[in-house]
Amino acid sequence: MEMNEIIRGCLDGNRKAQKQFYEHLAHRMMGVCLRYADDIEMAEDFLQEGFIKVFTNLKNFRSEGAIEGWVRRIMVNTALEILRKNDVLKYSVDIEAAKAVGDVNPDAFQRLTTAELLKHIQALPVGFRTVFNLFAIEGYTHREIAELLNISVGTSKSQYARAKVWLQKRIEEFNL
Amino acid sequence: MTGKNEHTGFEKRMKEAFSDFSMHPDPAVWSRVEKNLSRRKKLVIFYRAAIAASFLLFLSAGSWWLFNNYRTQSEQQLVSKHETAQSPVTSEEYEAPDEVYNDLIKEQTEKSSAEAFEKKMPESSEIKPVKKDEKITDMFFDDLSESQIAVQQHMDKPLTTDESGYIIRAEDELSELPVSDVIDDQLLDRADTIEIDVPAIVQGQITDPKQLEYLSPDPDITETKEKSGNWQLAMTYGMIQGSNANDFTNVYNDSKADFTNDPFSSKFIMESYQRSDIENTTHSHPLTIGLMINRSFSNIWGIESGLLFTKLKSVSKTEIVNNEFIEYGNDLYYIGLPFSVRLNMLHSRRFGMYLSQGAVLEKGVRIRYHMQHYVSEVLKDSEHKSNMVEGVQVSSLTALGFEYHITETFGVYAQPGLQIFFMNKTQPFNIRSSNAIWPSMHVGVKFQL
Repeated sequence: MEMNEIIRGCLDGNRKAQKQFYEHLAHRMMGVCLRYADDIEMAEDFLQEGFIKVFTNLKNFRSEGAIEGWVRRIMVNTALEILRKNDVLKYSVDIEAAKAVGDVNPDAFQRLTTAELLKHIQALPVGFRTVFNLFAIEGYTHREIAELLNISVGTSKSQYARAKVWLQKRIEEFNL
Repeated sequence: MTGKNEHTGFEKRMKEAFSDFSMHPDPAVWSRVEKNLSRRKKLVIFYRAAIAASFLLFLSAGSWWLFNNYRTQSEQQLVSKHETAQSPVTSEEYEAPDEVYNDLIKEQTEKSSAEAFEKKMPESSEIKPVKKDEKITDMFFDDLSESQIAVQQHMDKPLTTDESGYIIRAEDELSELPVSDVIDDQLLDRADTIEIDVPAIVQGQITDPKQLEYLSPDPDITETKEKSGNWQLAMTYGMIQGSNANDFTNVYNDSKADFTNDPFSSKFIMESYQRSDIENTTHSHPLTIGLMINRSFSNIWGIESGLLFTKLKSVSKTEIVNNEFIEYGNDLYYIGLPFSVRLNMLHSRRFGMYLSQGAVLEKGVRIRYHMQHYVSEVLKDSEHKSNMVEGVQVSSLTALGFEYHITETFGVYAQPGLQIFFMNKTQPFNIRSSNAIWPSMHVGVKFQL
């Protein structure tokens, strides 16, 4: 069944179409949710809430972009909403920024699998991890991140820079 | 980082690393989603039905109250007039309002009909006796989730994303972004040294034509959206049940109809007050046909108007005395201009449910009377007359509509409702004179324009 037909079926409340829609995107969205979550269980919670929002708001989908991009934005926003609701972002612990970075081996990341990279990202405190995800992977600007997380642009930049340095250092240690 | 792209090679490298990253969730997640959706759907239907029911109940109660209040006032006015004319009035007279009421009406109608009906039915008629036909007359969000998602302000921003959902920005847009404020410059400088040169895709530039594919609107979906916001043409057939009454005090409530300028009806109403004279009155079911045009402004609401043609038919028959009876009847024709606002309650590709509230302005264009005298069920003589109808009839119409789209451009609908007629004493006697509140039912076909 074509994606357009599946979407129409979902709009009609057809459960079979909804399941097809879910099965088409769930594994990739799980990959997104995992980056924002502490563990798999938390990621599955994000995924569940995210898909409920997707189905109840599918009628608002305008086909200016791909459906996957639209669903991904809802997943990210759902994760942020849940994190914010639980005050996780507010009470995120600080990290000690690396005092010195030194020379960077450009191949450092290339020796890592995505799963290993994910593990390092998940090791970041939630606040830093969120900013890192939004800026480095989703492509948001610091200004947008500031609005999303209700923090200052400076805080967003600072947290991202510290997370990046921390992550670089951790990956270097891992590669040794 | 002033004046330069915030997202550098490091970020691009990260995006690439996670672009195809996926993991299959536990199958139980779908079960939970499914369960939640079912519960949500039931709740939405319940809330909408509850709102509709409350609205209809409120409207019905309000109408009932207004209607009763109106009747009481009319009766009080009549009693007041009688009081003035026959002062002093004894308490016994108030204890018999029906008699007072009827006497006064009789007095009024007799006066007005005296002149017009001095010439009685012709004693001899040239109409040949015809056997009387035994058939006397033709006789039911944005919703909760939308408010939640509205919290996510950025969802509504027109961000352009690539196939994986990454945000794509033009170079100009990036240069306009304000750069920060006060941060650890030293730290940032160090961070900036973590550059990995991966110039696969330069942001803001389309290097591969395939990247354009997702930017094109989906023609099918776009088409559906356009159609849902356009015009609908409907051919409607309206009907309600007729009525057959033997209780003349309810049927012939002259406070709602105009008899003074209507000699034919005056004679007829005068007859009716002599209760024993009228055996029954039958109102055929009003017949309405028309064309309706509907304009939807969103999936939530729209307006509707059109042109309606209505025919009302009433026949009263006197009791048979010495094998003789008289039949009084009228056919009344109306052209109506309806206007209503509709609120969509359920909206899917096939099925729709809406609430409609509006008003109908009707102008009577013609009334045809007949009076037929039967002896031994044979038409002895008759009189026919045709008159213009003055004044207008205003009514409110509240309805719950159900529509089913057989194809994208064609569908059927049924619209049960409640119509309240505001009687202003300008209209001839008809089914609405006997009762101002009637159920209504419109059925028809709809075409998407």
